[in-house]
Amino acid sequence: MKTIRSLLLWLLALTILIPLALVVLNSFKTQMESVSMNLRLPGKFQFDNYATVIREGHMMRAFLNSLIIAAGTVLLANVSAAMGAYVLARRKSRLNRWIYYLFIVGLIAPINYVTTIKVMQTFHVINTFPGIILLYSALMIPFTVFLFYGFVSSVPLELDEAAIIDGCTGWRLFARIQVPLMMPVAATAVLINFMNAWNEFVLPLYVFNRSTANPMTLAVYNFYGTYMSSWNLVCAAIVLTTLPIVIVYLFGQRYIVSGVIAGAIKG
Amino acid sequence: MNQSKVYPMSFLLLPLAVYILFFLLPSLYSFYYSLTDWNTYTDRVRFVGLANFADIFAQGSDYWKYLNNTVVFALITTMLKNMLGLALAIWLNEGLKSVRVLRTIFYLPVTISPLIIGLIFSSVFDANQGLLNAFLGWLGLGDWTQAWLIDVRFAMASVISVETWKYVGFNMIIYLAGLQTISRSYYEAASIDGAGVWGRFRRITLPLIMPAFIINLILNLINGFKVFDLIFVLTKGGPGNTTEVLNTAVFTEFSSGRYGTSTAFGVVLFLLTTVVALSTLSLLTRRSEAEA
Repeated sequence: MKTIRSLLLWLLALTILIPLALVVLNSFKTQMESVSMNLRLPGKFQFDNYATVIREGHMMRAFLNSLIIAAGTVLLANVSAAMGAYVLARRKSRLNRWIYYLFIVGLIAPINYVTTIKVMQTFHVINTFPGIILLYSALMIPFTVFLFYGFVSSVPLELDEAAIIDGCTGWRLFARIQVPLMMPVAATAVLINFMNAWNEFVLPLYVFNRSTANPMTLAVYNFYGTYMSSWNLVCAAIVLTTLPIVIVYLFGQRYIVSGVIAGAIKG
Repeated sequence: MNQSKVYPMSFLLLPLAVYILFFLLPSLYSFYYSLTDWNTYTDRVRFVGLANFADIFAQGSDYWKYLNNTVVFALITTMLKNMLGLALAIWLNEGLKSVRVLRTIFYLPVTISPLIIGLIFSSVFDANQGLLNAFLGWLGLGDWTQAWLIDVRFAMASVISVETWKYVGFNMIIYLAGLQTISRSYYEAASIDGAGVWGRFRRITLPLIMPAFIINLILNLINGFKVFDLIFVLTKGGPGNTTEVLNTAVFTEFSSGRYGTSTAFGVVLFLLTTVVALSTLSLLTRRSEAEA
């Protein structure tokens, strides 16, 4: 019984692994070999494919852009959400309860793309890094507030009280007492926000029409549009965008999964 | 103790400002602009009342079909993700040595951008050169090969299967968290009372993983309603509108410069998502209050 179950599970796991292996294998093939996308090993590993993609697809630039956007978003969303959630969790007034609900709306409701563009034009931040970072942060703040709120609520109030007696309040209380405790939940939030920012495709599609600011996802999509018949190159481009995420996932799995669960269960 | 000195409300300024200006404000604007004929061809924005919505909800129109496709897509993917996710969670809850590796593998697609998943499967499903048809041929099932993404009979099923493939791992993780809260002693007691595998599942597992089920239900529905990237890359809404959904319609209308209609589609999506999510949520809270 156990062996059958194990066999079945590994068969299912193969349906996950094979499409991914397909991409990695074909990224090392020649254009001719990759016409028919199959699992055969490449005759000779074409490492040049990656150089071609990086050069032709302006991937260095895009990689850097994605990094700037993701890092900026992670910083803004986490710092602001941690501060906000901290006050919301510690001062449970009627007003704060409403503010909390206001954030929760953002967990459920989809954004409206057209009016978002209009608002960004009004603020003169369309097509700029600060603009896209502010927009991504606005979308990630609800989840992040929610995560930090749950955490701060679980920290005993006595800790604060002891510090308050010693005259530690406001910013110092937050920075000295809460922030060190928040590190594990912050790691979770940072990882999840980073992955979401890195993977985002729809917003750049709507908001960006300046090719020098394109993130990786948009660069890969444009590359696919131009090189549709060279699957070997498209596969190399896919590997380049996905590898950072897979690495982050494999190393941060514990934090990511616990955050996903915490986020979902209390929601 | 002075609360406002200890926990200053100014800490809320930054998150609230960013969230209100870049999320709530556009959302509020959308309700107004959905009532106009806003478009690229003229600078004047005219108020047209509910005309855009009348177009969307006109029975038999293409727009109505998009709404219908969205609901079908959301319902079927929700069902499949839940069933497969629960099965995986139960199988991976204990026992096997390779449990951790398998969990890691099943969750992997959740972390990859839907754009990338779409690109990969546009190759796998390719009628002539794709892996799926090649595999069917290799199994001697050459008659089963299809133009998965181009044939009107299979396009919807294909995008549904890719969406399910991507998010099964998410459902699995939530169910695993639910299963881990169930004490072993329940099962032992039931076994002593003579309950079989099915009996234990139905009487113990099922009732106790209800919270996990509701969470998956809500999140799957929301994500199903909002689907865009996968369909945009795999079928572009085709063939012949068979996979066109609300969010792809938002983009099509936007690209054609009909901003008013695009916004109205966005508002329909907003209402659909929030109403379904909130009513399911209140159902949950009422249930748990009744139990308490």
